[in-house]
Amino acid sequence: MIPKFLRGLFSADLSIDLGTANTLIYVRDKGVVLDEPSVVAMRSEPRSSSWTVAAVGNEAKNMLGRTPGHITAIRPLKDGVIADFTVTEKMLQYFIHKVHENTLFRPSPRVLVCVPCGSTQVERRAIRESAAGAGARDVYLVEEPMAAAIGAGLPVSEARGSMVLDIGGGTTEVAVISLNGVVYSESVRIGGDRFDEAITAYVRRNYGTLIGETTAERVKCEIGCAFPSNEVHEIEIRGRNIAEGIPRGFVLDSSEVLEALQEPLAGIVTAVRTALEHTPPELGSDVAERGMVLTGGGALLHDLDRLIIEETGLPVVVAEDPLTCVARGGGRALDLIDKRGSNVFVRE
Amino acid sequence: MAVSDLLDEREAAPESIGPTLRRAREAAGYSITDLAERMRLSRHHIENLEAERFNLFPVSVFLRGYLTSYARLVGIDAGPLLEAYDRRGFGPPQLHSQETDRTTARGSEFTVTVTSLVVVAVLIILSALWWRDQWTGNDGLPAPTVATPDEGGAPHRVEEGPGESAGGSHPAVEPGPEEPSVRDDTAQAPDLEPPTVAAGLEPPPVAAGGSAPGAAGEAQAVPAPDADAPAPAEGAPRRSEGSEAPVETAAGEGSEPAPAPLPAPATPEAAEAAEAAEAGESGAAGEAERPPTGEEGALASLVIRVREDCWLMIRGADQRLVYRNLAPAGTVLDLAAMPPIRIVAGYASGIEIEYNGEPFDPSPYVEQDTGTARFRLGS
Repeated sequence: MIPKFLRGLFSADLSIDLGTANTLIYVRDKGVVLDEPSVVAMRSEPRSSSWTVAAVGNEAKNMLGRTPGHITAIRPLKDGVIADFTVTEKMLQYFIHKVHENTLFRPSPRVLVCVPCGSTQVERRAIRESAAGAGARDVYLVEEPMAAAIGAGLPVSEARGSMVLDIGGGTTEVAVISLNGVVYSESVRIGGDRFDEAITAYVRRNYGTLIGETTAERVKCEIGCAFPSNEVHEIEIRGRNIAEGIPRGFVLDSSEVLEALQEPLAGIVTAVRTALEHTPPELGSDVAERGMVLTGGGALLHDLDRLIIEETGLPVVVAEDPLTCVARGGGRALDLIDKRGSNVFVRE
Repeated sequence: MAVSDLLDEREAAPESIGPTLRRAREAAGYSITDLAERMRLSRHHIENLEAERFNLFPVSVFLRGYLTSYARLVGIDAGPLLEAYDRRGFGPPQLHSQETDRTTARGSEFTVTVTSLVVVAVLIILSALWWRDQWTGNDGLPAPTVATPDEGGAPHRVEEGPGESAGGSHPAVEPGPEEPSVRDDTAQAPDLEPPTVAAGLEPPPVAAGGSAPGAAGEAQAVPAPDADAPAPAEGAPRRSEGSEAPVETAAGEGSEPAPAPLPAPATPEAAEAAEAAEAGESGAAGEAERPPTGEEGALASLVIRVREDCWLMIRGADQRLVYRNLAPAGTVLDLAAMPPIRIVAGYASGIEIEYNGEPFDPSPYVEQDTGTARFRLGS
């Protein structure tokens, strides 16, 4: 058996954005090499009454809601933290192997995992052990807003306030950062999943039709918006009519989606307002002058920046490639950790 | 001016970001103030954007965001503008930390680690060599701790003739007020006895020695050599008997070579020699062997002749250790200690004891099965 440190010589350092919706892996000197849904399909073995992994990532997501009885497609993370430790470990193991396909030995990389700033010590320990169980040689934890700010290109090392709003699949993190540290952070369990649930609930309530997660997500991505606009977009979707019990198709427009998203959007705006209220005046002045940065998949919701601008009166910009900000920021943090030690960003 | 015309113009001159934005704004009918209000930015920021003073903006991420928002508000595509901006080479800010750079610290740590390993390895090698040397040098046996009389040594301390070195080892002795004085009669004055005699083949009597606490004037002089003096049994070395109070050893050491083969009444010459020794260069050694002055009157004389190897432990008053060692055959122990004296002899049948000049028979105290004797002398 080859020791981990020897196998580590043949492994690349990884930054993992272990998200509720998607898992992204950034490999040093290569960039983001993996972006797959955090979904695992488990197959039951009737003879041994045990479960084996049937599919992970994209393949497993295609199975969501379409699986036969002996296969269960599950999302092992919920609200940004691990809901199923064993399945998360299997999923990470699969992803780490996938980015080391060409290596001779079993990979044992140093791994930096981004965790929600609102996660508890128990949840962080679960993530750490899960990554270690997946073969990581060393595991570093960095708070997601910090990684997002670094990935977005904010000057986190300067003695100036930088505000970042990272809207992920399960959580929304808002933080004010200065001198490589989080001055204030707020984490609310509202994210892309809540948007999907809100759309599903709206359709059921107003159209009497049940739609699945995948359909709701497609509606959100194609015509979802956060601020009223003169342009109205439409999409045709299908679901099972509750009264008739048979599938029916209907058309949904962007104003309806905006109405559906009001509740989760209000939650995000409230979190931003709360963060601004708790920000020290000097840092608040910096934020007011330059604005805040939106990252995460939620930042791609149409006119979300416009909504935040109108609600807060502050400049808001959307980061370049917001989906990969956290993973890329983790990669840059890994570089700095390598030079200056793990206590630069890592907070246990 | 139509937006398509603006785009065509921009494509012709892709590097002109500011003029493109300004013309688009004017075409959309916005003033700088209008745009600043809608973007929640100051007028200076809008003016700096249109004047392409990008170095006045804090970091790239905000400038890119402002460009995107500006272009969206005036109704043009932000993509080509961002590409033009990227071509100017603005990148994300550098990360830095107040922490020590580990790249340099790691180098020094590496040096310290390697040096430590080398030192430890050298120590281990030296220890191994020393250990091997110890064993090979002694044929696998530990170093002897007691010299036999034949080697010219004594287990405790050997009295030597003047100018002669016994050549034996002198094991450490536990110090005590009653410092024992052990003498081997193989240590003879060289100019009086030939080496064969010193080896014990024909042992002559040795000058009366001992650790008598008395002053030099009380010392009993030793007689002149007498070739007919009785030799110890089996030619083993023995301590010559002296007077009631044994003469201090220093008398023999510091004086002129004066053979003392047999106990004999003191002669004036010997007394003078003893006095000279007391005052002479060996006075310090003689004083060192004396017990404290305050105990002189209470000390008792104990002479043990060892015929066969015997382990001995002798304690004086207050359990003070006087002697504890394996006494080889032929050893003569001339001791002075504060009574009561407790003696443990491992093989009591192999020793002869004189206590204050009188013989003492330990046989009543000998245990039948072990041969060990435990007894006490004096009050």
